[in-house]
Amino acid sequence: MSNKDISNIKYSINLSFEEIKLPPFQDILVLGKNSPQGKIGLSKSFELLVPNGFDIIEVNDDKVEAVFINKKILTKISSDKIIDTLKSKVFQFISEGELIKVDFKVSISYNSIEL
Amino acid sequence: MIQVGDFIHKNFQVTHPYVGVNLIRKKLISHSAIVVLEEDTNDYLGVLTPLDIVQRQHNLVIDCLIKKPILQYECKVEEALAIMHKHNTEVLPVENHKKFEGLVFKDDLVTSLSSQNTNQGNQLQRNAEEIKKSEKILTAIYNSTHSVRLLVAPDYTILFFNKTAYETTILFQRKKLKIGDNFMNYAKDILKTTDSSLKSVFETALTGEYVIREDEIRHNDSSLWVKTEYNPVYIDNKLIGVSISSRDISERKKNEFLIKKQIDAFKDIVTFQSHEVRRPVANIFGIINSLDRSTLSEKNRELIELLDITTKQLDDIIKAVVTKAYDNSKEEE
Repeated sequence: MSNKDISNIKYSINLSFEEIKLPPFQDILVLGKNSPQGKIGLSKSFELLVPNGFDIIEVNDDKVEAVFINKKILTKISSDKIIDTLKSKVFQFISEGELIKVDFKVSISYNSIEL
Repeated sequence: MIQVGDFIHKNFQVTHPYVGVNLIRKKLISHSAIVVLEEDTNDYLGVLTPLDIVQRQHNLVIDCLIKKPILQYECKVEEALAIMHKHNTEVLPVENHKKFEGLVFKDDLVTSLSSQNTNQGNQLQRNAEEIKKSEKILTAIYNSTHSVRLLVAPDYTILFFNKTAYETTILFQRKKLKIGDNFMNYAKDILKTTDSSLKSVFETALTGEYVIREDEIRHNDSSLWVKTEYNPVYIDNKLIGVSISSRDISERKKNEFLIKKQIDAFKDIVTFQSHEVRRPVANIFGIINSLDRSTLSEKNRELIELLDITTKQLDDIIKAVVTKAYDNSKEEE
């Protein structure tokens, strides 16, 4: 493309920006089988971004290889309960090679506390 | 026994775990295997093969790496190949005293075994030729003898026979002897013996006893002497049958009879000497002692004395001959 050609181009740009946090998920990441990113490589990269921030749970499932869970969640609810929930609610929607970000907000409440 | 330590490749390609697979793909295909070493320490982490990146299609080497067994330096080639087969891999790492040494490739091991098998095959062929040659010599020896030679299994199956046995059966039965035939169908004509006595002797031999028989066979107006030996045959301490060797000993028997006849004649002579010859000697003694020597002249008396001494000498000689003959006949008994 010559300089003359470039001078005739008109640009229309839509621009917006926002703050992001790394890694690009905060709660849970589901790693589908045969994903280009392997669990060891991902684990290493999360370790670099958020040292000691995530636990990797290997899953025995046809479609899912592993699940990365924020350790803050694990202090509130056990990994078994999380995996059971994911199995019933999320895994069925996962395709091979996919990386799925899951928002998993836990709120804890007690009823009728008597002291 | 060849060990895998003899086939180690120490000049191998190296990569690190967090390297992208795309960067090393060409190198991996051309070298068949790349050793993955820890970035900081250079410790051995694993061996990456083309099959790994097919089975685990990830971006990083570490995610593609499939764990493989580590062979020991002293591991035998056959065992190493079995492990490679089990894990479906063409290459495996080798360690010596817990230190990574290098890689061994299946192709090298297979080539080595093939060459070893070829050598063993040649050796086996040479051994087979030697055995064949020995068998030929042995058969020639058996066939060159005039004795009938057979090897008979405990169930009377013929396992081996020589040329004389073959010719004898053709002569008597107009039938060709074959390996696997029942020996009892031929025994009468080959060994010139009856079924019942043969069975008895054969069974004795099967108990491990060595049996020799000499039988006189009368056929029409002539007679024949046959010596048959029954020898138990073992292979690896297991009785496989009885070796039967039979030969015509008529000539030897004839000589033995002749010698016996001569001995009998000699015994007759001895008897004759002891009884017939000694009697006149005794008579001479009697006559000499009856003579009135007082009326004899000096000359005649000396002659009578001489006759007495000579007669005693003759008597001693006869006694010595008789004693010697008696001793010899005692030894024979």
